[in-house]
This record gives sequence, structure tokens and C-alpha cells, in this order.
Amino acid sequence: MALVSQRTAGGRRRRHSGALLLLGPFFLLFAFTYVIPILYGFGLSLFRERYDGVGWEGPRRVFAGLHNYTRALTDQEFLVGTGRVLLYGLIYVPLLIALAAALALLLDSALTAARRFFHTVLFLPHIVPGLIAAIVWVYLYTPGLSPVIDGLESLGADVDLLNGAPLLFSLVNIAVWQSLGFNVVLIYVALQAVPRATVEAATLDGAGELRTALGVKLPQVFPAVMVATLFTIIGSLQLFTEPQIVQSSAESSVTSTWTPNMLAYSAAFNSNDYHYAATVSVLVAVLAGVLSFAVTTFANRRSAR
Amino acid sequence: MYQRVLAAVAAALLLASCGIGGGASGNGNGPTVVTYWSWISGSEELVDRFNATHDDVRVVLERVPAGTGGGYSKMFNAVRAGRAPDVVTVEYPQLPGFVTQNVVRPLEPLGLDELEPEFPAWAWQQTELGGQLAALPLNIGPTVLFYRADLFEEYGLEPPTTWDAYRATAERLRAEHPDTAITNFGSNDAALLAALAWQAGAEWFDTSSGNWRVGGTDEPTGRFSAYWESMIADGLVTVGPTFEERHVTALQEGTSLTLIGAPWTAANVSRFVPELAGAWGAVPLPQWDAGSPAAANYGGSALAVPEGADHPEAAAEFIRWAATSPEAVDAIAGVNTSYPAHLGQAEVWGPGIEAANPYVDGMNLPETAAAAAATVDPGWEWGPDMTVGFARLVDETTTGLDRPGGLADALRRWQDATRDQLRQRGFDVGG
Repeated sequence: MALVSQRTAGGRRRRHSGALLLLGPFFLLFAFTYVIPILYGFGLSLFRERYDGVGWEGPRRVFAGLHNYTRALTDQEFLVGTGRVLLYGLIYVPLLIALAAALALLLDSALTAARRFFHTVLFLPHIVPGLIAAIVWVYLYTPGLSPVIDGLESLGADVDLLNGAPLLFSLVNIAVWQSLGFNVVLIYVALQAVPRATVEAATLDGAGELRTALGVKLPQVFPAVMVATLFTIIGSLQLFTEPQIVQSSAESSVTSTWTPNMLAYSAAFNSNDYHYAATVSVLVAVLAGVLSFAVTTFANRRSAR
Repeated sequence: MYQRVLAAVAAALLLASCGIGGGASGNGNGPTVVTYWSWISGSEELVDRFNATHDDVRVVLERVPAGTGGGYSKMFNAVRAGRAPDVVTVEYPQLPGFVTQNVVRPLEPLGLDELEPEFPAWAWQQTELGGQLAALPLNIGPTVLFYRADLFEEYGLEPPTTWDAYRATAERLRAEHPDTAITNFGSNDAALLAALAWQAGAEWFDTSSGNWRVGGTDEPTGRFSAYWESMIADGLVTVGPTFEERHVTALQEGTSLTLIGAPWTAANVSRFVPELAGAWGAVPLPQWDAGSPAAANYGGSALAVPEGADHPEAAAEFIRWAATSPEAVDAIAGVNTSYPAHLGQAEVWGPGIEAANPYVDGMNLPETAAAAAATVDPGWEWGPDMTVGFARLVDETTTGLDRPGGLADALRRWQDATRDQLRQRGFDVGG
């Protein structure tokens, strides 16, 4: 008896050390590139700089407690910027996910030859670096440069895609163009795992293509759709590249602190205020965490049903 | 196995010795190596000429992104990380930020303060902050008005000498040549906006009371903003980013007739519209009060030694040469039309630039620039966080300038937000 338990304990220990060896590199990297920077950022956010008089003598670094957090939570730029990305996400996330799911289902039921072609076409924009895509789109949006705008103007339509209400949709359009292909592939791959037997059974029972797609296939790829949703929500909270390019075109009402990430960037790299930049970053991370938690809870509850 | 380990160790040692060898060349018998971070055009020519004429110091130029485009951030981080270069280019608006963040070292211990009498007093005041010389002025940007001399003559116009005359000229142009505007009001150029306010006599920052005072609502600011608001509202100027496609097209087509700039602007113009060589003239910026001519500084840069620089004495030797010797002016004349800050350099600059740069020849730029440099209002100060200050100013002025009070409102919002931001940043801000 004693011998047996000793043997299993030894086996467990060996198995543990094996797991540790395999997982070690991951946790090491995870700690260095993720946990430690977050802790460092959080530490930074608890301090601030103080200047005496004009400040020619340089700053003193002082403990700030929650000062930076109250500063951010009363900062119009941060609050309005957060509202903006939430509104942006409200338009962007459902639109992208619905389009991606629809296209994936279409691809799944299409002819094999066409499938290959559309796959490539849809995925191509994802290969273009986000920065380049944004520059090309901003070019297409800028009056006087864009053939599209010029064409519309010659038809008598006065459109301004870089200001006012259309602005948000212009940004959503860039993001959809960029990430649609990736999400289609994500859902399409999940569709390949749907047992053909269930699809055939549905067909035998007299369900049409549409009915099969929505009633049989879609529920089975729900986890993949949720993963795509989660990535997209986090991505939209971190909105940066597209508005930054629009801002630098100087034709738009987009300011240098238009989204929380732009505010953090400006604080860090224009103002050298790393304490405030860290604070804003921590708050964005917390918001992303809360939203992710909400989405996964919703998804778990749904799949438990 | 052991052989392989041994080989690895040997390789590591070899690498390490190479590293030591590379470092030693800086302070051994050879010349001291000075690293210089800059993005200014002509830096290569400047450094090459210095190295060709000096044996004791060798300058290595490292190109960095333009200051507000990432260069300053790189400098701040390098100093923080203890990897500072020996010399950096800093523009005047950002210098107070460099000083308050302890990024540059005072130049008095390096003997550069003795050069004070050789520089215009106002330029020296831009770099002597808190009683210490933070940088040595290299070049300056006394405001001038570039105008299309050929088209002015063709249309029977005289270059305006006052802002009232400038408006009258604009009105006549609009009436007689409806497609033509007198200028493009740059909506992305905060430094130009500041220069126009400066010329009107405004003071946006003031440290004379021992803390920071921020003002974007004084009488001169109101006067200059009301003037441009009505120019924009009456359609006498176009509004848009300077030197972007639409502006360049207007310059090419001859539908934008003047440019508010500084001597360095000439090099930009020559790059964007090379075909207009010989078409431009330069006159003093129009005046608010013809009786007392005033100019402002628009652009230009200074040289500073970062905190933690390895070779400050050698750095000072390079800075002194670049900012005072006629040779340095000659070296860059072909590519950079900036006006030197140093009084002696300025004297040789005129004939040199006209010989080296055919685009500038015949504009009457040297006389105009010299007159402007002598009348810059010395009272202007910059704030301690101007990269953000300029970004915010562009944010505020990109839209809504065509309403009455639009520019004045934007400047008031800028003032309030700047006060608030500086306070939050930890500065002592007065009214």
C-alpha cells in the first residue's frame, strides 16, 4: 500500500516537472512581456512629477496615490475618447461579426473552386499593414485628392467623410475592410469541424440551405464567433492607427487625443508624462477586462443552456 | 561537446574584445568621437565639413525623426536610459521642456556663454532659461513675406507693407482674379500661428512672476485673430494644410500668391515648386504699425549638450564651430536656406546663399531677413510642454475658423486647456 502510493507520488512529481518544463518558456515570456510590464505600468501610475516655481531645476517624483486616476476620470479628453471608442465598437463589432459569419457560411456552401478564390480575395486586405491601409483610405477620403470624392462632387453631392457624423463610419469602414478576411477565416475553419452528418441529416429532413446555415451550422460554430467578437471588442477599445493617420492629414476634426490610446501616446511621447500615460493604459486594460468578462460570461451561459 | 563550449566561449571573448576595441578609439590616441542627433537638412554637409577641417574631434551624425515626429521623444528616452548622444538639435519652442525635464546640461561650464555678444539679444534670450544657457542658437527664422513678384507685376500690384494694405490687395485680387487667393492660411501650422501672434506683440507664456502664466486672450492676440477670421470668412484666403497637395497645386497654378515664412521656407518652396525659380520676391512681413516695424521668429533651431553626454568638451567644440564659423555657413548653403543666428555668420550668409542657391538669387532675401532679424520682439517666451501645446493648437484650429470669433474662441480654449494640462503635469501655474 505504502509502496503503491509512493510510486504514484513519484510519477506525479515526474509528470509535474515535465509539464513545468514544457510550460516554462511560455510562462517566462508571459511574465517578461506581459505581467511585469503591467505591474511596472501600474507602479508608474501611482507617481507623478512636481516642479518648484517655473521648474528650471527639474522635476521631483512624488507619490501620487490615486491622483492620476482621479485626473483621468475627470479628464474630458479621456471620458469623451472612451465614449467615442465605445460608440465605435457598438457600430463596428456587430457589423463585422455579422458580415464575417454571413460570408463564412456562404463560403462553406459555395462551389469548391469559387471558395478558393473568395478565400484569397477576402484575406488579402489582412496582409496589408494597418498603417498602409489607413493611409490609402485617408487618401480616398480627402477632398481634392480622392477620385471618389471628386466624382461625387461632380454629381453635385457635397460629402465630407473626415468630419461630423460620417467620420465614425469612415473609420469603421477601414477597420472592416482590414479585418473582415481574418474573421471569415476564423469562422470558416470552425465550420469545417461541423460534422457533415448533421448537415446531411438536416438536408434529408427538408431544411433548405439558409435554414441549414442558420439553424444547424451557426449554433455549432458559436464559440468561434464569440472568440472573434472578443478580439474585435478589445481591438476597438485600442483604436489608434486609423484616427492617428486621419489626424495627421490635418483635414479632419480628429484631435491628437481622440481615443484613449491616442491620449496615452500623446502623454508619453509628446509630453514625456509616463505616469499619466500608464494611468490611461491601465484604465483601458481594466475596461477591456470588464468587457471580455461580460462577453465570456454571456457565451458560457449560452453554451451551458 | 567540450570543444564546442570552448569555441563558444572563445567567440564570446572575441566579441567582447571587439566591443572594447570599438569604444577605445574614442578616447585613445585618435580623435574624440562625438555623436550628433539631428534631422535638419544640411546636417551631413555640416558634419562632413567639420570632420574635413578637424583632427582632434570626429563628429558622427545620426539621423533622427523630426523633433515633434518622434525625435524629441527619442532624445528624452536616450537621456533617461543613460545612452545620450553628445549633441542634439532642439527647436526654440521645445527648449523650456528640455530644461524643465533636466535633459540638457548648462553650457556655461563649457565656455560657450562668452559668445553672448555675438548673437542677437532676443535669440540669446530664447536659449538662456532660468539664468543658464541651455543651448547655443544655430539658426533663426525671422518672419518674411514671400510673394510672386512676376504675377504682382503682371496684375499691377505692389507688395503690401501693412496688414491693412495686405487685405486691400487680397480684395482687389478676389475682384479681378476670382480664382486667386492672396495666401493659404495654414491650418496645420501652430508655429506660424504663434509667429503671427508674436509679431502682433502677444505674449502667450510668461515666467517673470516666478511661475507660469499662460495667455491666449491678450489684446494683440485678439487683434491678429480678428484680422484672420475676417480674411477667412470673406473668402480672401484659402484654408488648409501648408505644403500639402492642394496648397502645392495652388502654388504651381499661380492661384496662391504669397507665403508667410522665414528664410528657411525658401528651400521648402524650391523643393515643392522648382519651376518657379526666379518668380519669387521677399519683403518684410506686413506691419500692424508702419511706424514701428516688428518681426517674429518662426522656426530655427539651437544645439544643446544632453545630460549624460560622454564628451561634452568635444561637443562644445563642434557646437561653437557650427554656430559661429563662416565655414559652417558655406557648408550647408546649397541645401538649407536657414538664416544663421550668429551675427558674423549672418553677414557672410547673404552673398553665400545667393551664389550657392540660384532659387534664392534675386529675391532680395538677405536684406529682408537681416532687417527682420533686427526687429524681433524679445519679450516672447515658450511654455514647458510645447509639443503638446502645438498639437493642441492644431486640434483647436483645424475647424471652425470661418465664424466670427472662431479663431479667438479656439485660442481661448487652447489657453484654458493648456493651463489645466500644465497644472496637472505638476507645474505651478498662475492666472
